[in-house]
Amino acid sequence: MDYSPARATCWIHLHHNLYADSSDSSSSKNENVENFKSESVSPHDHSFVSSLSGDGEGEQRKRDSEYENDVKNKILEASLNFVAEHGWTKAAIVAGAQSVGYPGVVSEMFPLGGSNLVLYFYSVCNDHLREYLEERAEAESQDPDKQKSVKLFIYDAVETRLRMIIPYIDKWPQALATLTLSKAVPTALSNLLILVDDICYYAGDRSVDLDWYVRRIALAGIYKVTELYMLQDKSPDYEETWKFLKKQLDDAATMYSRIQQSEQASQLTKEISIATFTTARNILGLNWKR
Amino acid sequence: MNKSSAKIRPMLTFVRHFTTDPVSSNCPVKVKSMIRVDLAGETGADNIYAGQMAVLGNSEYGPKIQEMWEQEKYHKAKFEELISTYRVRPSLLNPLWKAAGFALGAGTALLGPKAAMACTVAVESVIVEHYNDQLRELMTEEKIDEELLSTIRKFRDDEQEHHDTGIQYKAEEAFLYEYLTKIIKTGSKCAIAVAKVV
Ligand SMILES: [Fe+2]
Ligand SMILES: [Fe+2]
Repeated sequence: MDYSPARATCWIHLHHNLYADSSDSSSSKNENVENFKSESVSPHDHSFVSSLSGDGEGEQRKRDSEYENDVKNKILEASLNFVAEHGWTKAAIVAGAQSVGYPGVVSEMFPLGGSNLVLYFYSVCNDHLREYLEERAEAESQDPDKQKSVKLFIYDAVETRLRMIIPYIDKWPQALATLTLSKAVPTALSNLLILVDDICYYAGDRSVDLDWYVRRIALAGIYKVTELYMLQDKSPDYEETWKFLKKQLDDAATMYSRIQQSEQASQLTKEISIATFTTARNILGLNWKR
Repeated sequence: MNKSSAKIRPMLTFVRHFTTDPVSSNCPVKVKSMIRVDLAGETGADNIYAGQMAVLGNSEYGPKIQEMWEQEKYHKAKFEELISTYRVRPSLLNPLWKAAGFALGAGTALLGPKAAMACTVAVESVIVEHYNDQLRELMTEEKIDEELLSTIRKFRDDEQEHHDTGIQYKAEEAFLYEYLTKIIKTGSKCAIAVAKVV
């Protein structure tokens, strides 16, 4: 990767010291900004093929890039407060950076601009959902009386996740549009896969065979259609959306048995090994956080 | 040299052994890589249609999907033949392309026939583009490989037809057409990039 974290972090250190305690946004450090620009890298740059390098001397480097990520996340978190006003744009990031004491020019740290903000929001929501699902799964396992229904669990998970975008719903079509910019798509896709992988996992899916793939792709599709449906739903509390979601899940569940009966599926099930499954997970960048 | 790199070296040799083609054959590395990625792609395609058939086989879309599936089976068989005559190492990830293809076909078909057709349109358009790139590259070779060239040209036309069939079957009305195709296209392109080397 053409990227020098040490240098970039130096720059952040410098600016952190200079600006952290003041909200003064004017900057005379444009030279540095230009230097930094050419070396900057997306905070979510793990894309599809996860990096295989794991050098031993990278301790300091690792600490530096952690620090850099902390700064970036702090800025993006603050920027969410400005989405209502500026949309998912660079302007929101500039305003966000300034509100936590960084100069507006640090928005150059986010080469994808508004897309970086959307991707950040997406992965924060995924983290929240993961915590929620973990608790819920834990609670259900404690209580043997509770009748566990996988479908209900999934339904609830998707609804919970979709409700997280309600505060931003007016600007959400814009967010979806920025995610289709080609540079953002790999991370957007990876975020979506992490989301459905979490849901499947906590719903009790421990399959390491063909089902693993089919369930995730089908759920990703259902999530996306429901999300789009939600954008045009004017019913109170999005009643229609939840009805739509339920129907999608029911339909898919009904048709699912057809797949299992198919000859090709049983043939494939025999061929697919744990190794295949592990490879797929690594290529897709699904590094489990649980 | 530190300890960890000493540990890794035998592993690298091992991996390289399997990711290098047999030296004895005189086919250019570039052409080998082409054949490898093409077989991987056709393997994926074969399984995409298999997945669609599993869900939609009994619907009105069944016969048309079956027809395209038969062509994919032929494409795959042809590249299997080429891979042995040119002595190319097949992609190490072949089981993965099968599983991913099947899941993509079946998973999108679960959303309904139009989503399945949108999937066809997305995948086929990437393959057409990919075959066109290969044709351009093959033309620049000093010794033009006529057999490979005409095979790819023929398949490219088939894929274009599949793409048009998808459109004809109202893929564009699929609720999330634009979104779905964008995602699937990117996924397919990544798969091609991986299959070229692994
Ligand atoms: Fe084909
Ligand atoms: Fe095709």
